[in-house]
Amino acid sequence: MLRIIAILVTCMPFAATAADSTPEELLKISDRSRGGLASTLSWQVEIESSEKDTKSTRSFEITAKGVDALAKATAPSRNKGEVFLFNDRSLWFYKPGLRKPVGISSRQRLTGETSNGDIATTNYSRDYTPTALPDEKVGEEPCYVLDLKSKNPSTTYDRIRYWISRKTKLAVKAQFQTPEGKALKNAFFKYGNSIQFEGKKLPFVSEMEIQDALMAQNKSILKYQAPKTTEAPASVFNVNSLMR
Amino acid sequence: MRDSAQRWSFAFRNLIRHARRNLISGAAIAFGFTGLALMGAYLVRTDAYLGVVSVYLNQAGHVSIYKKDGLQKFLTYPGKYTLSPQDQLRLGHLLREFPEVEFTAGFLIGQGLLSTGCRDVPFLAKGIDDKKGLRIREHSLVKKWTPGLIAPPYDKSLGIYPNIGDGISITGQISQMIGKPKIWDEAPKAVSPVVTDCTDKAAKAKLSETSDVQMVAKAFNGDFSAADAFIVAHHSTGLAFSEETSIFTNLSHLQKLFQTQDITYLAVFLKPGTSTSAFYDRLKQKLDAEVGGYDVYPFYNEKISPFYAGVMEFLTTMASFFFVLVLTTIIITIVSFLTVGFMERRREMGTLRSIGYTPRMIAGDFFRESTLLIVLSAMSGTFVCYVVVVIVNSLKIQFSPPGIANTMPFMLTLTPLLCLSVAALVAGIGLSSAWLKLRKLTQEPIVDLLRG
Repeated sequence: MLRIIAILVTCMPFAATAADSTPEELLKISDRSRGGLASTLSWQVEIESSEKDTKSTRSFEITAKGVDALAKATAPSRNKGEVFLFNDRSLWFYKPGLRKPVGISSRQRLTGETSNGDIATTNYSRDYTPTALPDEKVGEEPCYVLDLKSKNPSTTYDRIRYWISRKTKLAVKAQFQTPEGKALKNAFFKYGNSIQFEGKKLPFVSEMEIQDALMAQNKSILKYQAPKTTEAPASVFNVNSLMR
Repeated sequence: MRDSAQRWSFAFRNLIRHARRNLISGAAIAFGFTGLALMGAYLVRTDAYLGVVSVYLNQAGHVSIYKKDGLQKFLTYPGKYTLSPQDQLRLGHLLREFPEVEFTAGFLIGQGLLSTGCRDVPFLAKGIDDKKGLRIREHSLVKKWTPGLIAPPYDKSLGIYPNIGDGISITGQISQMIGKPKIWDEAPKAVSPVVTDCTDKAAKAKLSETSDVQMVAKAFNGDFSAADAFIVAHHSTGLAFSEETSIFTNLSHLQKLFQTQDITYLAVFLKPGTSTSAFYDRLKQKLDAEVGGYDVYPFYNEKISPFYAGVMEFLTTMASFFFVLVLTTIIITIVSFLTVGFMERRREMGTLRSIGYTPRMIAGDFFRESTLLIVLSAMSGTFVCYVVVVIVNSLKIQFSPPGIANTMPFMLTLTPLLCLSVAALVAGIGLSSAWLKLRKLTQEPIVDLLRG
């Protein structure tokens, strides 16, 4: 009996380790709750930015499937008709009056602290190589900490330090960095939404707050609303269809 | 009068008496004069060339007016530090009171990315009214001093394409960087297709066949903005550091891209011959007294034309150094001429003193000889200068000084005023040193002079 107990006690840490996800798996899981799904999803996002004494608000309607996403500006009225199209790693901008869409970078600033790449889906598992770091707490939440290094120069950020909750496997904090590891921006996530995915209820991001690393008072809050699975033809994500 | 004429004749004969020695002294002075005058001619030419480049081709105007602190901050906070339509109206009214103003032009400056679909390069664009742009390029001073910068391939300007509202002019260097060598006249008036795979060589090759590009920027209100454009012309800024980023376009096109009615600065162009510094002082005084909130800069301010200010300061310092060297040589030549001449004619001076000549009269004779020597040397030097200038200018030498885009012609500009100024300087320094030396030399006792 004692021998059995001794074996069980010795094996328990290994059992616990086997149940822990790999960094790659953690990224895949956390991506799902930030739009990185193979199904077609849609949601609305409102971006409130504040910088010193100026405030601004912009709204978008997002349709996403896998690595493609279409963001249509819905407010303010001067931006209506503007469209951002994400095709895998290419990003296009189009607005009425342009002869054709213009290729842009996901790193360019969209509004406030938000880059173009921040409003689309998240595919960190595809775009970054994760390395596990010692666990930390975010508030009272014990988290895995991953050091993500970009695999491709067209990603929005070169390097990210990513905190994923041990309990929920959802990202709670991200620090966007330079290639040398210097902090550019900090982001905090909340998951008050949910969507139906493969018969299950999946938590979905409801808020992402991005702060300037040096001046925390400069920030943008992205509020995600009404996420749902939907249907959309492939032509929606075709750059040539933007001009029609 | 007759006595005076006789004395000058006497001085001239004394010069000829020791022709060989005096010829050498005269040649030294003449060459010194020639060196100073030619250096001055190069300075005049460089000042005019770079001045025209700064004022007209880089559109600084003789004087530029910015919003207070606007020059330093307009790129970082464009909406706050630009001139609104109300500012422009107010300044326009004020400038009507100055008759020396030839015309004014508003400029908008903004930065962004120029995109072909496969290649992006950063730009610093200047938006100008087409007619004003044409007027600047066709200005008489531009044609006189920088004809090479408006000759082919830079002979087209935005102003000749009034129907193409989104025409831009880029530098040859940008054209190479983005792989778009053709301009509107040479390329089909079509828009290149969207290229989704930039590794496709055939698709990329099609981009070089057309002249269409797109401009991407952040609007003044912070929005992401983009605009189409056609390359209608090539230009050169004349300066190497701006050749990689300079774009000119129609003011309203750039205002549309940046979603604003503002301009960055108002350039004031003065009538030829007007003193920029005098106008600047008066304008600054009037602006400060009547309408605060603006900064005024003359074109030679290092913040407006750093290259012009830097080069002219360097050349002036270098020229001053050589001026001092050459003038010192001239002083030594004249002092040596007088000393040797006096030593040789001691007994003659002693004889003249013994028959009643005063030291002042003797000094006067030597002074007249020195004057004649300097005048004759200056005249010879002027002749040599003109010959050298004609030869150098006819050779049409092209050279690439640091900081200049492409090449610039090595030419000299010799003016009568320059020759007279150098002659006056040489004569003034030379004769002053002569008089000081003579005062000492002619004080010797008669007995010592007669002994030899």
